[in-house]
Order: sequence, then structure tokens, then C-alpha cells
Amino acid sequence: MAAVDFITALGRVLHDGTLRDAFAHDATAFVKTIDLRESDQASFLRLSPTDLEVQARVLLRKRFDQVRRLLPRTCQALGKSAWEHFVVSVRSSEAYGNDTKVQDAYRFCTHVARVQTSGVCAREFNRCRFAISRRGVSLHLVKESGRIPAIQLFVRLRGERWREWRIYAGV
Amino acid sequence: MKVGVGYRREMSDWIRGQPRGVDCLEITAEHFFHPGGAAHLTELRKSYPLYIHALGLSLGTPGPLDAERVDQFAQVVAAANPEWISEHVAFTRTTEFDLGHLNPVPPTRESLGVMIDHVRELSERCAKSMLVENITSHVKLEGELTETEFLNELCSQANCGLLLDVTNLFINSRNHGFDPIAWLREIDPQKIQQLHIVGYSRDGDRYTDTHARPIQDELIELASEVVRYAPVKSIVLERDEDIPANGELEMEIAKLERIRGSR
Repeated sequence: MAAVDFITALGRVLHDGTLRDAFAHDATAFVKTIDLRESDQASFLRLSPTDLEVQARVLLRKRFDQVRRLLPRTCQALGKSAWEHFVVSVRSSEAYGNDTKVQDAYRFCTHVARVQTSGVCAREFNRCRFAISRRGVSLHLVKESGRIPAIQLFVRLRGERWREWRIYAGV
Repeated sequence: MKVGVGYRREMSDWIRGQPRGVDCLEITAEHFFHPGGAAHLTELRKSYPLYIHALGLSLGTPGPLDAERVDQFAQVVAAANPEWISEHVAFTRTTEFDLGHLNPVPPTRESLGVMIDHVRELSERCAKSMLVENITSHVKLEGELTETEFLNELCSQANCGLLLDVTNLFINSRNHGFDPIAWLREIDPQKIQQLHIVGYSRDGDRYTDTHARPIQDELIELASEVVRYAPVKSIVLERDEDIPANGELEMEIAKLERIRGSR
């Protein structure tokens, strides 16, 4: 397998918090582990783990801004803790594959549901779950405190497009 | 020198009213990739000269450009018929991930070659002249060249101009401890065609570019220095977050007019 170039290696550490931890712990061992091209090793070893963490947080903040737009109720309910939950949810995510905002939102919901069940808006979580699935149809009964119970129906159309309907009890 | 604003959906009513002081609009290409985007641009170009600015073409990534994104970008350019197009000296994706935001490329001969090829390709594909923009980065990368040597060589060899983001220059100078005026003097002034400006933010001891704050006095001073140094053709307000009410936007435009007046 070809050795990894500088940009690919930098992308990996900015994307994955566990790799940043490994770099901070032992940078020399890290560049050997990822098979960084020899000509790039000296400059990569001079990177500051602190600066990498700050840069990664900038990227995370941009991703979080997109997730907030997909999950307004969940983020509003969590308040300031939403950001810290988000950081934890994506730090432990798998290192390979393209991230999309929906995948980020799904991971975030999954994480919050595990640590703080009441924090996730069920409607938003169902939406993310359906969006990343390959299912054609999905039906949910949604009961949330203070809100009218609803049936939430998702139907996938052609390609990646899908639609959502909500039918409210008594309406 | 034209004064303009980065067009955002939240500003659409204000822009439709043709506010005083706004001579041109900068369009973020990715905001117009959706169906109907082209028709909207056709409307906007009736009232304003346009520039098309890209965020995610990832010119610094080795290997071919993302063909689908380039196609989408070219369609936006065709609909807008801008005076020029621009993208960042950065990578936003690797062969493995889409990182979703701008990251620095090392100032090496190898990266320079990648950037030159991609700028030439995009400029030829769109049949438009192109500008490249300096970014902020918390990570300081090293290479055979300094950042200013890298930018000068890129502009010279790719036959493109520089979109100097004054706020990014200021932020980097604070975070990495260098003199922004000395940095400016190392840049070929004939290459600086456009400026970006917006207020900086602070997060502890770090300066950040959240694009969410009014322009501070230090930035006005630095931008004024740039327009005295270089034959800048346009300065654009680049506000993305916490977009203020119309009155406050007009105050920001007045600051850009002050910068223009300092020439």
C-alpha cells in the first residue's frame, strides 16, 4: 500500500479525535503507524497537538452549526450542553468514510439518547434515522410531553429524496 | 474601487431595496447549487455586478478536482456571468473525508504545483479570471516557501489574482505572532484585486473568524493600509452569522466606504 501524503494525514488527525490523542501521546510512533511518506515526516512531527486540537474544534463547530439546523428542538432542549455532547459524539466516531451532516446528526442523537434520554426530540431522531437508512417506508407513533401525539410517516421517493407526513391525534 | 457585500438569504429584502453604498455582490456558489439557483442569479445580475466565490472545491487536495462539484460550480458561474471567480488556498476534503471546512495547505513546491494545476483548470473551465484567497488556520505549517512566497508564486504561475482577506491576515498575525504590515509588503501589490473583511471574534487567547461581528477599528486601519499599497478593485463585507438589522449593515458598508476613501 502506498505511503500516506501530508494532506491525507492532516485530514485524518483533524477528523478523528482518537488519532489526535495518539499524535499528542507519541508523535513519532504515530507517523509510523499511519505510514506517513518519509519526506513529510519532519514537518508533520513539528505540528503542535494543541494547535491541531483548536483547528479540529473549528471544523467541529462548523459541523455542529449544520447539525443545529437539523435538530433545532433537541439542541434547544440541551442548551449549552449540546455543543459538548456533539464533541463527544463525533470524537469517538469511526475514522473512515465521508461524514455528512445527517450522519453527524444521527450520531449526536444516538449519543444523547444514551446519556440523557429526555434530551432528544423523537421526531428529529426518527427523521435522521430514516434519512441515513435505506428503508422505503417508516412509521412511528410519537408521544412527547406537552405535545399532541402524532403518527410520523416517512416515504422514500426516487434516489435519495424522501417525504415526511405527520398525522396528529384528534386533528 | 467597488464596495460590496457577500449575499446571504437573510439580506435578500435589504438587497432588493438597492441599499446606498452597495456597488456589487459576492455570491457563494454553494448556496446556489439547488434547482432555481440559476434563475435567482439571473435576477440579481440585472441589478449588480457579481463575483462568484467557492468554499468547497478543495483546490489544495492532491489528485483531480471533484468533477460533480466543478460541474455545479460552472453552472452557477454560467448563470451569474461574474466579473471573476474565487476560491481559497486550502483543502476541505481528502481522498478519505469531506472535512467540511477550510484547512491550510503546506507551503511546499508540491502543494504549489497542485494549486496551480487546479486554479488553471477551474479558470479555463469557467472561462473566467480567478482569484485565490488566504485563509485563517490555527495550525502553522512549514515548507520550502513562506506563505507570501507561496501566494506570489501561485498568482504568478497560475495567472490569477489575490483575494486578500484582511480579517484572516489580522487573525493569523495575532495567533501566530507576526507583523501583518510586513507580511503585506512581501505580497506583489499588483496581484491584490479584492478584499474580504468582517469583524473578528475572540475565544480566550485565540482570535477566530466566526464572520459574526462588526468590523473593528484595527481591521479598518489594516484594510486602509492595503488599499494604499495595492490597486484593489473591490472590497466585500463577508458577514455570515448573526446578520444584523439593515441599519447596522449600512453602518458596516459605511466603514468599507471609509476604507475606500483612505486611498
